[in-house]
Amino acid sequence: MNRVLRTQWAPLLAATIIAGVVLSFSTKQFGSSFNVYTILQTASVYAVIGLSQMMVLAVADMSLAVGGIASLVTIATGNLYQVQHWPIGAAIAGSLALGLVCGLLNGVIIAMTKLSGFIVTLATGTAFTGIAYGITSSIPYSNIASVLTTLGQGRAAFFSYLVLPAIAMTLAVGAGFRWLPIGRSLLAVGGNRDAAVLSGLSQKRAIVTAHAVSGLLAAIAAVLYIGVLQSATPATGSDWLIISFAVPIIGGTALVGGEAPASGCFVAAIVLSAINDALIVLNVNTEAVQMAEGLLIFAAVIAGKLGQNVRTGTRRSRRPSTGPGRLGQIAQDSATPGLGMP
Amino acid sequence: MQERVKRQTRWTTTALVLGASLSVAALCVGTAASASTSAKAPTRARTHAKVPKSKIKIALIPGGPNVYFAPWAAAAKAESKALGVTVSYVVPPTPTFDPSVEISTVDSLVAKGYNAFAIFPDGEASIIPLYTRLKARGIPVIDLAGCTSDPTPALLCFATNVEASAKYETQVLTKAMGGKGKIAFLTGLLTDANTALREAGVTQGVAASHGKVKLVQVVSNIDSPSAAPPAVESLLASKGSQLTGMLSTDYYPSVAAASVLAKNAQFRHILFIGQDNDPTVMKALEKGYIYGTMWQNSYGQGVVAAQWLYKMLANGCSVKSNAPFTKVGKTSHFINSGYFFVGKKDAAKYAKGMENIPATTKQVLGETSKFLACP
Repeated sequence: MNRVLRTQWAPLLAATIIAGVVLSFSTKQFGSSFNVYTILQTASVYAVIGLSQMMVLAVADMSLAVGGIASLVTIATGNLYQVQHWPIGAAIAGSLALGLVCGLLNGVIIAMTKLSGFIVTLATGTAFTGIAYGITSSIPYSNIASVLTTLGQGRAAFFSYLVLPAIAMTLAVGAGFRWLPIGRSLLAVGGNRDAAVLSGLSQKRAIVTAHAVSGLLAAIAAVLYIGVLQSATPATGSDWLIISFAVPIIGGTALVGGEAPASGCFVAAIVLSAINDALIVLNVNTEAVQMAEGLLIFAAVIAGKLGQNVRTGTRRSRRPSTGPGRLGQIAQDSATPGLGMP
Repeated sequence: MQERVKRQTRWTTTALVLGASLSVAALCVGTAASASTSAKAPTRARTHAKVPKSKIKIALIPGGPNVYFAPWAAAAKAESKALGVTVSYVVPPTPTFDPSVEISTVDSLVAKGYNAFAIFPDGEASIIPLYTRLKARGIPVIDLAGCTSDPTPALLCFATNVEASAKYETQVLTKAMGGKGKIAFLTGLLTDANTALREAGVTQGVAASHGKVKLVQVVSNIDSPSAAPPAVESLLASKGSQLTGMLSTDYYPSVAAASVLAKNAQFRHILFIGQDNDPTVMKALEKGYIYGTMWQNSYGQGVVAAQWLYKMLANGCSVKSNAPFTKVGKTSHFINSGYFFVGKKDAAKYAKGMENIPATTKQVLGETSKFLACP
């Protein structure tokens, strides 16, 4: 419990729950079963999109190709199922593999050339989107397998089925960072590249792994979204950029790397989804919606930062002794044989 | 450390050499294209002196990759065959409809010898400098599916009258609701000039009910696959029980609403009219989950644009200053490309085809002499 309260997203979650309760009393529709389902459905996709970006932020890099990969994977799924007549399971597997390969390609290019991830993913993301539009001539695939629409739009009362894969991804990513050596090495490399390299960790391997997993997660988000829209359109991912950064940053992921709380992503996704929903439920002037979203995101980040400062101050006052610090400790813990040479 | 510096230098050198090689190759190809066509590039004034058939190259330029423009590709292909000249459908690579990308796309085509353009303007004013340059080179340009603001060098604007269409859509919905009730309106990007016109059309349609129909909520800026589904669901969650009708003037909100209504029977008391012919919309219409959809004449836009631009170049026709244009929004040189309502009884008939209104296309082409003066 104490650990949850110490997280950056705890104040945000508390504020959202309080606001949600107040809204539920003032506007009874906000707490309705269908509205909660709507919030959870959107949040589930946001969470996976956020996890995709968080993977690369963890190694102090960034990916502008999350939307481009999603666009290409969406088209691949639609094409394999509708045109090539693959079974839906095989079509999804093939599309996820494509997402993994796209991410892998980003990682390899960045690791080999040492070019900025910003530049490389800007280029590849645009190329992926271009390929998707080229294949389809902008016309969506509309013959969507029922398993995807059931997943995307199915619910049991307020519980969206999409929550299940989103939680599974959140747990998998969280567990990977916490318990797998490669996960810990990603955080170590992201936190302090020089220290990590001196500890025997491979920077290249970390970057390639982060981008590959990011590609896979973007692909999963894309497949989930096909079910939500009941259409496989190349426009998927076109407006994912802001969400992909907002979710992990609000959730406590450090832009400088080294901190990647997967659970924070899930909470931030719920917060963002609830904000979007509340603005429509409250009939906020549509021209003001974007401005309100921006201000709320800014307020959320400031609140998180203030909370972090307070917690850091508390920790310092409790632990005056100096030591290797969290990042140094991660680097030491992660420097296990078999992780590759610097 | 030295090794790292060497490696970086090696990569930088390789990248520079590769980049330089590609640039040189592109330049060679571009130069070859310009060389073969620069002599043919027109330098005439706006009077459109006759151009030999073999030198006519017409381009239909959408705002970016979007399903709405897809019938233009078919129209370009058909008209190219029918007229015996080059008619190309060239999509600027900008999903966000960035005017700068559209401008560079057109500039590239001019360099390749294209000498007539029908363009969906990405920005009602920002594209005008491009038009001015085209006009200075004697290249005819018309607005297609969207209009630039007056004063504009565009010879005319052939597009759906979105304001009238939205008003008509609202009136059809009002009638279906028995003349009274509460409605919500789903629409597109705030940056799209058409959004304001559509909203004005809906407002006029509501006003025509003399207070019996109330527009309780407008949800705009949701014409994207990510924004539309949650917005529609949130709207239905909050207002679903009190709404009698709902209408959309844009593609993705229509798809999202059709999809949500298909899955959630508790909202089917709401009469919904969507826009365009996505299969999700048409399936929902066939099954009676939605009330109807508004049909546009995308294919006809491509046909008329290609034929009139051809006449300007091949026959030396020019646009009449006293042509019977309509004033719509910020343009006074507008011609309506047509729209109509498709209900359940016609759903099967229109489910498979592309958006096309042959009767309107035929009518406009039949009135060519009212708009073009040919020697």
